Order: sequence, then structure tokens, then C-alpha cells
Amino acid sequence: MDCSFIKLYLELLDRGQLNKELEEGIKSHIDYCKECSQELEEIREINNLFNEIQLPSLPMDFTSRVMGRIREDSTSPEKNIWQEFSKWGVSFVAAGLIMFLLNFVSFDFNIVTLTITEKNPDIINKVFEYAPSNILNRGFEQIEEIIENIGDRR
Amino acid sequence: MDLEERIHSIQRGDISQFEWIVEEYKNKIFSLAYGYTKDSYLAQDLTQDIFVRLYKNINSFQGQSSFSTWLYRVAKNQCIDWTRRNKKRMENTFLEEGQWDFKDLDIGPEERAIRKEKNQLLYEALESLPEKYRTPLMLFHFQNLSYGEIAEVLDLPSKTVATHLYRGKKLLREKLISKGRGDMLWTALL
Repeated sequence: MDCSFIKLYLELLDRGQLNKELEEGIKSHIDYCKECSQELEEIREINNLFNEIQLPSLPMDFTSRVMGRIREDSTSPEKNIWQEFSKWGVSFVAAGLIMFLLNFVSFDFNIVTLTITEKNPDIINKVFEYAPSNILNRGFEQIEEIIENIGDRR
Repeated sequence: MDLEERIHSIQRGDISQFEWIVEEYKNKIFSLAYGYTKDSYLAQDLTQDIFVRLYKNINSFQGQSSFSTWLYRVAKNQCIDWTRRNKKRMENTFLEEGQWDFKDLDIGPEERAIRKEKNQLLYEALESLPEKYRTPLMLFHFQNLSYGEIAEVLDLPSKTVATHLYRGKKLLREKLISKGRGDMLWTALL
């Protein structure tokens, strides 16, 4: 075992949380490795400090205060929308898919091809592709405007 | 009633079971909150906020991890949010005099003063650590979590947790020595 590996497990050695095999391996390494032995000492010093740390105590009525606030704030936990969604998710996806297909397969499906011939023999083909009928109507209005403009220029 | 049944009961709307949760975990959450706030009143408020959030989000606990892992994850996130919101205030905060729950009640004023100084130094040194070292150290020492449990709470591999604990402790020692203004005070404290 090399030192960089040993150092990561010194903490657990101090806590007695290593399995027997690893504990014996690390202990025998520490017996001859000054650097790791020093590391263990330093860890123990800090751990002693942590063990002595003192905390102010919570007031006796802390739990009832928390419960009081919860009762004031809300009557029930928030619903987990994702959890709710997951119950209905498949149905939503199926409904969405059907609507999407209907949108493109039904009578609303239109391809309008407009061919505009100018003075030159060049032909400009513009393809407008609109699915919902209201957008299609707007498209027709634009086409009419373009045709009128061409007529004016002539 | 076991923990799982209690949680299901809360999720079905039985608020009284949450009281048991608060009673069971309040000291651990408070010690974590105190590590971030260094003030018992602020830590109490923060602990309350954490429990209120836990209750509100109890339905998002689906048992993918253990309840305590989920609880510590929520608590840790709220503590970090609190620190970000109160960064300026924290710069000038010292440990308050407050009521200290010293285990040995027979200690005299001198010993009490030394212990207070140790607490002060340790909390200040912890506060000055980068977040990635500070949180694993607090979870390891204040919550007594294992490497594996910390790894779950922080969503990190166990080996990374071991590395962060090792480096964090090294850095903590350096900070303690510099805060103790040299080895003399450091030696006196240990």
C-alpha cells in the first residue's frame, strides 16, 4: 500500500470503521512510515477538537414551534407536480401525438405553390407551406399583395 | 410504526407524524445549521426553515435514497443558500455568548473560557474553508455520517469524499494554526 492511499483511510482508522484486513494493513504501514504516522497524529489532534466542540442547546418548545409554523404556513404538503405528471404523462404524450398528426394529415394540410413570372424568362418558385388554416389565409393575403405589386410594376 | 410508514402517513396528510420527524432530527439539523450561522438564534430560525421546507416537499421523497440522506441533502442545500444570502453579515459574526451546553457542568470560568476560545477558532476556521471541504467535514463530524452516506448526500463518489475530507482537514489545521497566531496558542489549545 502506498502513502497516498493510506492517507485517505486514516480518518476511518481513527474512528475504528475499517474492516479488519484493511485496518491491519494500514497499521503495519504506519509502524514503519513516519510520514503517515505524523498524518494520523495531526488528524487525531483535529478530531479531539471536534469532539470537544460544544453547541448551544435548542429551546424545549422547539418542536412545537416548528409544528405551529407548519400549521400556520400550509395545511398540506405541496403536491409533487412531476409525480402527478408522471401518472398522466403517457396520456398527455399520446394526446399530443394524435393532435400533431391530425394537424398535418387532415384537411388543414395544404401546399401552395406560387409561380411568378417576371419580364425575364427566369422563374421564381416560392413554396409556402402552412398547416393551420388561419396562417394559410394570411399566406394567401400575402400572395395576393405580391401579385398586385407585380401588376403595378408592369 | 417504522419510519417508512410514518413518511407515507405524512404524505397522506397526517401532520402529527411529522412531529416525530422533527423530534428525531432537530438536534442534528441544528448542529449543521449552527456550523453555518455561528449563532444559536439564527441557527434555530434556519432549522425551522429547513423543517418547513422538508414538510412542504415531503411528497418529492420517493424512497430512492434513505430518508436521512434526503433530509441532509435538503438541509445542506438550505444552509448553503442561507450562507450565500447572508455573506456580508457572516463577515462580522462572532460566536455569541448564549447558553452553552457544556457536557461537564462542573467546569470553572477559566476552563469555560478556553473551551469557548476553541469553539470560536474551530468555527471560524471551518467558515474560511472552501465549500467543497467544509460541508463534508461538518457532515462527518457533526452528523457522524459515513463516507458512503456523505457521498450520497453530496452526490459524489466515496473516494472524492475521502479526498475532500483529507484535504479539508489539512487546510483546517493550517487555518487553525494561522488563526491561533502561531504554534504556541495552537499547542495550548490541544
